[in-house]
Amino acid sequence: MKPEPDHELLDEVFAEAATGQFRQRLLDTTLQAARQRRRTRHAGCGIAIAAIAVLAVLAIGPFMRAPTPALAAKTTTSRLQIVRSQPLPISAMVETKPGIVRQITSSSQLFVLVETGATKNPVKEINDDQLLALSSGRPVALLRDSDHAARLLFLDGAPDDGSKASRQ
Amino acid sequence: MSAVPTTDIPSLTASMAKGDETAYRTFYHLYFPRLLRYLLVVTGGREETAREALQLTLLRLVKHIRKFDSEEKFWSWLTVLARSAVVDESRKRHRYLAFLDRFLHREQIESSADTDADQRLQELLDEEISALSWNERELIHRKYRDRETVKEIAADTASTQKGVESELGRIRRKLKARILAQFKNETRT
Repeated sequence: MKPEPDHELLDEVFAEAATGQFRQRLLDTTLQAARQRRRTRHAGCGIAIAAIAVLAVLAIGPFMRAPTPALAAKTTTSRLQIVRSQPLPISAMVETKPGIVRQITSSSQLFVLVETGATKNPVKEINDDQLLALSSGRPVALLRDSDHAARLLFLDGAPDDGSKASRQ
Repeated sequence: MSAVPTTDIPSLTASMAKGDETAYRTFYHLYFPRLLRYLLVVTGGREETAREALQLTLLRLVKHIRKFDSEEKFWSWLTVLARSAVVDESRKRHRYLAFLDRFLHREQIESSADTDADQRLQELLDEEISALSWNERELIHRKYRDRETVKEIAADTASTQKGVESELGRIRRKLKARILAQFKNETRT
């Protein structure tokens, strides 16, 4: 029958194969590796979650181009930036009092607007026929000196008063 | 046969897999001496190689740890890590030397796969204890077989506790040196 291992004696006999300094250094190295692995795992989880989120966005993105009103409202709400204001300090406030400045009130009744119709267009322009009609049946002739000048002649010998008719 | 006190291995290994430092400290306390002894057997008593392989074993343990249902399975897995660490440590050396090293030690490393290292160490320890002088052997027996305290031994032998502890330390060193020498001799042959 094989002897039962005496682990206490074995431990103490071979304890010198590893000094306390070596044991501590190895424990520190092991714990450091464990921390590193834990960090790597957490980082891996984060990357996986981000990848899933990106894939989800890519997958449902086409369906979100025309957002529902509720979703649009939600989106709008989320874009709002809340600004919180504070009351002004008293030193920055300016107060005014009534009565310091004299007020002058004018009324439209003080002025009367007079408008004369005759002076508005004193020269009445008539055409050739209207001019000839003014001769009251006397024989007259209309002589044109130029395109813009003409003379009215009374053919029955009445004194020529130099009447001229200007035509524009 | 387990060299480790009753421990909730599934819980311990699951916590280690989650990166729990307390679990690693517990593991270290429970398994460091046993792993070192195992590696001393696998490396044929070469202490430096055993220490380097132990470091590599623990780094690989951190990298690949998972939950184990039983202590037997966990220890079996640890021995696989330890043996592969010994082989890889050998590969780091000069190619020619590494070749010779592997050639000379492969059989021992492979044969140790199915051997209980502690059992083999215990056999050698018993041999070496029996080769001690009567006084030395008696002191070891009183301390480790009869579980007498150093104080009791000192009182009975009209010695001081410090003197007894010093003598025990000297005998342990002697035993270790002889056992490792035995391993080295077995490797050469």
